Amino acid sequence: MTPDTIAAQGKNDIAADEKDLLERPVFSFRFQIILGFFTFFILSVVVTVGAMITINQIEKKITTVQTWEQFLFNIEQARRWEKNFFLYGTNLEDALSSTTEAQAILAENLKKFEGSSIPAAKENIKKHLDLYHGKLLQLNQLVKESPDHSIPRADLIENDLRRYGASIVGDAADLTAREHDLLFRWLQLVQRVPAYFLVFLFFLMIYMTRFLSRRFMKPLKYLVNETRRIARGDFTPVQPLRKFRDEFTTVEVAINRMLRELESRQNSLIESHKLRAVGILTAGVAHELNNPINNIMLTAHSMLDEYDDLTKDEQIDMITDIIGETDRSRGIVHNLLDFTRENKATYDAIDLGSLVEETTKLAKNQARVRGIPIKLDVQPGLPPVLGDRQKLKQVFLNLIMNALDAVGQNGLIQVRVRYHKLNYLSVQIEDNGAGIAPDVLPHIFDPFFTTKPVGKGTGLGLSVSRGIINKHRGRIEADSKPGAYTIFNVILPYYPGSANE
Amino acid sequence: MNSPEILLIDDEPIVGQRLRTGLEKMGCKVEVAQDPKDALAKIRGKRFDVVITDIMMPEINGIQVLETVKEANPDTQVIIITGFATSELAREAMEKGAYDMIAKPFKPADLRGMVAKAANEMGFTDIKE
Amino acid sequence: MSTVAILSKYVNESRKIAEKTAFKLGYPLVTMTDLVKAAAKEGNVTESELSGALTDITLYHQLFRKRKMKLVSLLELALCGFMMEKSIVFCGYVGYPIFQEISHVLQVLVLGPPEDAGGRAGGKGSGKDLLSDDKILKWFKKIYQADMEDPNLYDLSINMWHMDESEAADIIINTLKQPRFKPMTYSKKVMKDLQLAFHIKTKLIEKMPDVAVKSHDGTVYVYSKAFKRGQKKAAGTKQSIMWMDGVDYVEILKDQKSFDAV
Ligand SMILES: Nc1ncnc2c1ncn2[C@@H]1O[C@H](COP(=O)(O)OP(=O)(O)OP(=O)(O)O)[C@@H](O)[C@H]1O
Ligand SMILES: [Mg+2]
Repeated sequence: MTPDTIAAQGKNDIAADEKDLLERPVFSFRFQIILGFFTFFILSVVVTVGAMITINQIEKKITTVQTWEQFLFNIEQARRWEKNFFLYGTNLEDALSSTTEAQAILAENLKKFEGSSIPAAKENIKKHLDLYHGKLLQLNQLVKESPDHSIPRADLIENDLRRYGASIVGDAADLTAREHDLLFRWLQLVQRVPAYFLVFLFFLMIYMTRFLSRRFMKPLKYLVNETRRIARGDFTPVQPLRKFRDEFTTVEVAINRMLRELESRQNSLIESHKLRAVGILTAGVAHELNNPINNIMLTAHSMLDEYDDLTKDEQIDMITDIIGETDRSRGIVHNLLDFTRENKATYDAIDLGSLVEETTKLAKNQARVRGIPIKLDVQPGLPPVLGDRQKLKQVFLNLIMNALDAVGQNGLIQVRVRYHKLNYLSVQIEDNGAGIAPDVLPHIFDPFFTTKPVGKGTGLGLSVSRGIINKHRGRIEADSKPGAYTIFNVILPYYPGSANE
Repeated sequence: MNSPEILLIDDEPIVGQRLRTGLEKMGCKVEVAQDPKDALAKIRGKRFDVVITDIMMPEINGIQVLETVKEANPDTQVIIITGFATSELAREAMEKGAYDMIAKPFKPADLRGMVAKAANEMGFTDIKE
Repeated sequence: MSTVAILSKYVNESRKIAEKTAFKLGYPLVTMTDLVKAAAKEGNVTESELSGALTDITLYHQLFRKRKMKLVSLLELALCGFMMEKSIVFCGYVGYPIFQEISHVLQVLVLGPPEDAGGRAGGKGSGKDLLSDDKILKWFKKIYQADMEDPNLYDLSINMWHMDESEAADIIINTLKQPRFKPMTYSKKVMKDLQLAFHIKTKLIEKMPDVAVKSHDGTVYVYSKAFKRGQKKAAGTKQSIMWMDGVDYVEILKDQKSFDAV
């Protein structure tokens, strides 16, 4: 953490921040949801169209199969007639007509089958059918020429007919069976696809739900965490999770605006509480100044009264005293002025020990009036912390003033500055005063919580202090045993760059 | 003739240094204490006619000194000097038997006047401001 | 220069107690009439105007608030004069802010019975002590924004229905014997500072009714909201009081907090 990253949150940066957020490409959730539903729609369309096409195909297939069956029937009929002819010499005409019928069916549908049926065999069938037909015609011719029904080489023709007929029937039956098979498979497919589709749809929906909800939940969780961080008083702007802009960006921009508002409110609260402290301190400082002024007055009057009796050394002594006491007065006023000065919220590397010492000096007069000693114990060689001098002084001052309010006779306030665990330093302010009852303890950091009479306490001291310390990425803890002690522990990270110096 | 014994207590060393000469010139015997604990020991060990004490000092305050003085010797007059004067403090000091109280900053002559008056009342008639 | 201040809404009764006390102590009694006389001479105003300011709580005087404030301030200044000069017993109802500051003032409140049981001797002031009864409380509230009968503001409250004037005076005198009411260098200095502050306040109040003045050893602090409005006003004010007797240095303060702090 460099000083700049913490401190540089001026107005310009925030405006730039906002601009940066708003200028990202838009990829809104609305759009994402629409996209999701559109995908579903397209999928359904594909499946429906596919089903329609398949059903159409099946329809065609059914006609094909029917045609083949018709064809097969005709051929078988023809062969029966043909058999009759050889047995009884009848029905040759019928055989011929059946064959012609079959031929017609084949001729009519061959083109159509080209697209829808299994290839192969058909040419064979046609060839054999033509041959079969030819033989039948030949037979018919012979019958007409010989009225006595004795046909020469009849057994030869019969053989041929048998062969061709068997081949046609075999091929056609085979084909029909295969077409059947195919049809059956398609039907099965048509049955199964919707089931598959449903299963697929189911998984797709699960996936989409998870995807979308993760898209929603992640930024939501992030924002919840961010609000927790903000509640602890860290008012650095919320950083966007994604590179593009969505509805959460709007929320983030709104939160950042709220943060700026909160921060400026808190700053004015801190400022007004500081002014109150200054008011109290000024009275004390005015009285503290009485000591050096008295010394100057006494010395000057002594010089005036006894001027001629004084040796040169005595005169120099007195003048040195006057100068020294003027410096002392200036020091007293300077310390207060330094605290009062308008704050520019600069983060510097600070020696916590000397900062706490300056703060105890500020409160010293209040303590002296009440006769309460403040013991300071600073572990030597501590690394610096990064912080706002005045604001940190304000915190320690609040804690010391609270301690002063809490102690009575024989009060003692101990301030310790030392290493804490890991990369932290701690400032402990302990008093042996009234303590805080356990049921009150959880509330002391609440704004406006006070147990002091009206006009004495505003109840903002600890709340303001916690705000300041949280901004420094530290924390304040309180521990107390009523009637025995109260310890406030301020834990601050030290400046990492300087750890080993 | 005897001169009044004075104890001056202030944790500011300059106060003691500057007031001592003037008081001695008036004819007083002056002891100065910076540490109020030493002062308390002195008060218990010896009788002073006038004790001048600051109020705000580390660990022991002027009111405690006043109480100790009045305990050890009720006749001793105590003059309070304070940088933090309030009317409540004034009343408390007077109630506890202080002779007078003066707020810082004051002129050496003011204090000398008070001491002279106290001394005169105690019978040291030749003490003049 | 001890001071016994007796405040009460029961004008006649408290007056009798005051007279008795003053007689027993051998101190002069200062009444509101004496203040009016002294203030008239000091401030060049007529006695009747002063009495008017002390009695009227009507709208007419609300309208002329600035003037009224000045008159009250004049009376307080006159009271400071009496207090500075010698030990006195004061009986009246101005001077509250002075008494609060000075450790050697014994503040006495004279109370009646809890219920106004009637039968009080001469309700209306037979002396010339101006206001009487509840009007005094109202006047006090208007001018000082405080409850005159709040016992917390006093060192001693006396219920005169339980005793006669002489007994009451004895109680007051006994209380006054307590060392805490003894004047001392510090309280005398505060008194002197107060007198100077009232002197200056009287001078400025007509121009700035909210003016507040403090003085420490010749250093004078002046506060008014009016100073916020312009440098000229501040400079003019500084000029007008810089040359007054007893003023060494003038500090003009523009905000209440710093004024409260000095
Ligand atoms: N050291 C302490 N010992 C006992 N009680 C404490 C101590 N510090 C804080 N408290 C309690 O916590 C309350 C809140 O403290 P906080 O500083 O926020 O307000 P405050 O001191 O009452 O008002 P302000 O700080 O504005 O003067 C106090 O009223 C007091 O009851
Ligand atoms: Mg506090």
